[in-house]
Amino acid sequence: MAIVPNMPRSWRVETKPHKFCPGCGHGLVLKALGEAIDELDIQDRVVFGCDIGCSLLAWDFFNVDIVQTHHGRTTPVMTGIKRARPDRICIAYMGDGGGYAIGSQHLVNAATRNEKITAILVNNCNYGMTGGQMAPTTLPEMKTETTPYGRDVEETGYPTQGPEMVAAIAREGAYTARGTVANVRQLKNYLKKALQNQLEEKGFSFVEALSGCPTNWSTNAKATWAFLEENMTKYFKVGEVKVPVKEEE
Amino acid sequence: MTCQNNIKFMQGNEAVAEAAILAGVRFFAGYPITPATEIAEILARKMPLVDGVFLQMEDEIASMAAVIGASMAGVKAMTSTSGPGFTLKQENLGYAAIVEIPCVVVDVQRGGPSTGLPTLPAQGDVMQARWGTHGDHPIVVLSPATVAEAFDLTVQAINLSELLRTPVILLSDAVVGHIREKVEIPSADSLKLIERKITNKSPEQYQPYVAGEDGVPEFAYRGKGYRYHITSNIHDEAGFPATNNHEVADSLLRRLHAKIDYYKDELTFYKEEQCADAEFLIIAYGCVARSAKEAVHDLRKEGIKAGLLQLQTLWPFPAEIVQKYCAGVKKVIVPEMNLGQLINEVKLNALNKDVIGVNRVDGRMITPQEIAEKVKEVK
Repeated sequence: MAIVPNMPRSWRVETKPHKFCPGCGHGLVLKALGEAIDELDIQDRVVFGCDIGCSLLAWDFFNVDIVQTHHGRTTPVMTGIKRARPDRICIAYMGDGGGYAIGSQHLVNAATRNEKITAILVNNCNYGMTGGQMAPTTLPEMKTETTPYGRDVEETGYPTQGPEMVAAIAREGAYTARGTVANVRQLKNYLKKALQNQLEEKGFSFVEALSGCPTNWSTNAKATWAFLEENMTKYFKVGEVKVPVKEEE
Repeated sequence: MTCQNNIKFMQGNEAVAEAAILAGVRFFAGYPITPATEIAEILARKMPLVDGVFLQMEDEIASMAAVIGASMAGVKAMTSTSGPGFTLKQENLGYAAIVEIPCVVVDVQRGGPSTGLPTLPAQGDVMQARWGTHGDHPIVVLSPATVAEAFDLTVQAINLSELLRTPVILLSDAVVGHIREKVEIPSADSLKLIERKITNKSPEQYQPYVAGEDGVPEFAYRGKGYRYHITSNIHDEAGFPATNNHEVADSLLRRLHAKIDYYKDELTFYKEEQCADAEFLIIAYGCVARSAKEAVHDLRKEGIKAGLLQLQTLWPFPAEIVQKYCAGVKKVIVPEMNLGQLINEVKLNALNKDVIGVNRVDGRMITPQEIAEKVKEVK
């Protein structure tokens, strides 16, 4: 008898195995998200938006309504859907380039307006789909195809700390957190809270997920994990950054 | 004899980057996008070695803005992209046209519309290159068919942008960008380079938008005491907005077009293949010209008198050249990797000859056989 792996109900089983590279963290983030969708029982209400870059490979991942947008524009497209149909649960799924570079204005302004949507951003320190160029999250001194001499912070600035940035501008009711594929249970918990925040119409919710990119980092399994757990988490602190204040009983 | 060291085997995108460095480009700003990314990656390595600037911006809008800023400071500047990014650059392309700041945009075309076919070739941006921004701006668009042409036309694009003080577009495609071929790199001192005309007037005498006979104003570097104003509004010769002055608006817009027209001969590039006695003229550009050349050879072997006019300058459209080559032929065939863009310009200039398209939009190259079959079909 063939062993069928345990998959979230909200997944589209016939598209598995998925399209991401071996060792990529996207699958783990999407597993955590699938479980969160299942546990909240919102599959029929979810509209899942994905960006350009590796995140677009999630376009057939779920058995839900899915929209793929232009680069960086997932957040405003999801905003439009949510404003037109507030009963939908809108998820904007993107990479670090889509959220912190080409679409940073959308992330900032969605947070400012406290849009009742959930943005999920996968941080793997580089542009994966185009072959490993510098991303806003590339660590200082890290070599990529467009930082062949290592990222020079004097020239290109420091890596973007997204959840902290969003927390600084978002109003009361917003939820921001940073999880990691190294702790999927915790990540699922954050994603569930973010979706819960949207369900309760409290405000904008944003979760960054630290993830690995062995293809472009040119790392084996051990080195991928070491980079994620040692180098990345030193700069990108895992945890909840802003949570809505509990209402008085 | 040619120095063997100058013969290189390289990609079209690589040739563009090499040419940019040799032609004096010292500023590049861009954003990763397939199939143009190699240009940015190579310049990320090379710019620091020649004291140039490589800047990866947050998006294509910002890249184009940074390129214009660098050129305003007097540095030759370039960016590269593909269809979706080219669309984002359009806003600032119009800005560069009206403030008359030289710059080069390389568009390595892929299938569209929208994100379309990210890794496959197309020629769908011919009209976007001409008419992508709002307003009546002129533009120069060059299109290479080989790696060697990618090198040469990049140098020409940079030269023309400096000569004309206008944005110039190098319209490449995924085939030319990624194919590897032999290319002969000229030595730096044998390369004929054009630099923008720098004013020798004093700051008191200088008027930033007074043009000479050729319609091109003299340039004064920013930060050299000239303290002049640059505005994207309609402006007078002193550079100040004149948005309610109909005469100023009329003369500025007409001058922007007249300067391109003045240098028409310098900016019109084309090649021909067996056109002298041709009865069937194939007009092609970019990667499709490669197949068209082969088709001409195959048809000649069968005794069919075919010829190729390869347009390297697409805009301004070389109307007189097309008319000249159409004069003696029976029929004109225009193969394009779109559903008919440049063919409409050809029709206007084909002297009432039949003009027949061969079109492909599935991301696969038009083959020499397809073109030859069409010639035999309409013969």
